[in-house]
Amino acid sequence: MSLDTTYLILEYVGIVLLLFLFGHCVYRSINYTLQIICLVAIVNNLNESVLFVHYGSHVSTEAQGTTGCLVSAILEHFVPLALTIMAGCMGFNVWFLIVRTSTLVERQLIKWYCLVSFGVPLITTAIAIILLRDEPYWTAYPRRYYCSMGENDVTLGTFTIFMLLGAVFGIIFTRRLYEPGVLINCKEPASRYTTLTCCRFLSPSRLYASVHTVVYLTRHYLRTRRSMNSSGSSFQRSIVLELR
Amino acid sequence: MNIPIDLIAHLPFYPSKPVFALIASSHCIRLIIFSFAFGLIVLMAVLQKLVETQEQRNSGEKSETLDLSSDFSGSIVPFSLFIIFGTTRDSVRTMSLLVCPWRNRRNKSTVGAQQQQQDPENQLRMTPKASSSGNQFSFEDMLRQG
Repeated sequence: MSLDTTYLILEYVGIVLLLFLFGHCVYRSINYTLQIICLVAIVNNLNESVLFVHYGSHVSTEAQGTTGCLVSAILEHFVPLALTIMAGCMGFNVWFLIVRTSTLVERQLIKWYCLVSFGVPLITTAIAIILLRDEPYWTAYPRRYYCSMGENDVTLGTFTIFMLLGAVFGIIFTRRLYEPGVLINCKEPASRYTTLTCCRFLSPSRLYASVHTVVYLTRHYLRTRRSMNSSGSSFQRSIVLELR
Repeated sequence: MNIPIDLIAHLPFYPSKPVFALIASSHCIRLIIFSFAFGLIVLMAVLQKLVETQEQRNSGEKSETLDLSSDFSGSIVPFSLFIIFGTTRDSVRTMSLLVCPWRNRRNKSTVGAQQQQQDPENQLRMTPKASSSGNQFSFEDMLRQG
């Protein structure tokens, strides 16, 4: 199978998976932030595949200077940034509800998340367009499958930096979840000497600590679930155990 | 049952009920994995722009691997989202509802009834109790009953 076919299959299978995830969240009325992320990711996949569907494998030679290429480049500047900031908001949401013990619910906060995650990319894209207005086609150039804005200092400042900031924003807030005393009781003898307890002090081994934390939390979750099931907890309870 | 007390203390709803602690802990596990996976995908997307020097940009020389990873980063996002958030038992139930709704209905009406008849203990467990809100599967009522 060629690389181009693989790319197209990945894009469209991805859209189907996202549609299912979106439908599932809507049907169960859960994870409102994830619903928005699914919709934005669908737009992203469509944008990244529409030129390839239209021009075939000649996108890089034939799409230069067309309106489609220009629109694709602008969307490629806007949509991934919105997706990254929304993913950061998802981390912030759980931190805000669990660590900060807020009385607000996700449904009330979603409008603010949307404002931030669509507002910031809108501003940065507008700034990039204004700064690149004298360049031919706003430096939009065709890549292998879609168009993108040229790799220059303007896109570095208005896209790359914000993408990294968005990703770090999400990691910082989820990192707070595995700090001692937030999710795991550190006074328990079993967890006292784990790397989880030490992750505050051993900064070079934080990556290892985070992997260990995921393993520890998963093991803890499965063990508790098993003990609840074997102790004769009801069917209804086992439904509640699942992620909502 | 060994439930971390601090976890329950930090939950905004029903703090005395350990079952919600497990929901939160499961969600947090997935969220931590997702945040790191998404960080890697973002790095894949922007690494080319960060690593390439000004001379390379001017001369048009591009790293084939970085170019390809940047192109494919967008198509990996749905798969990571689905693997992390779409593999819960709840979503499997939704999937089975979508794929074969008739089978679900049959299971509910015939197979489930047979199982209940065979297992009196299970029958007791499966029988919903009276609910004040009118919803027989209401979480609030379920928790009030303990």
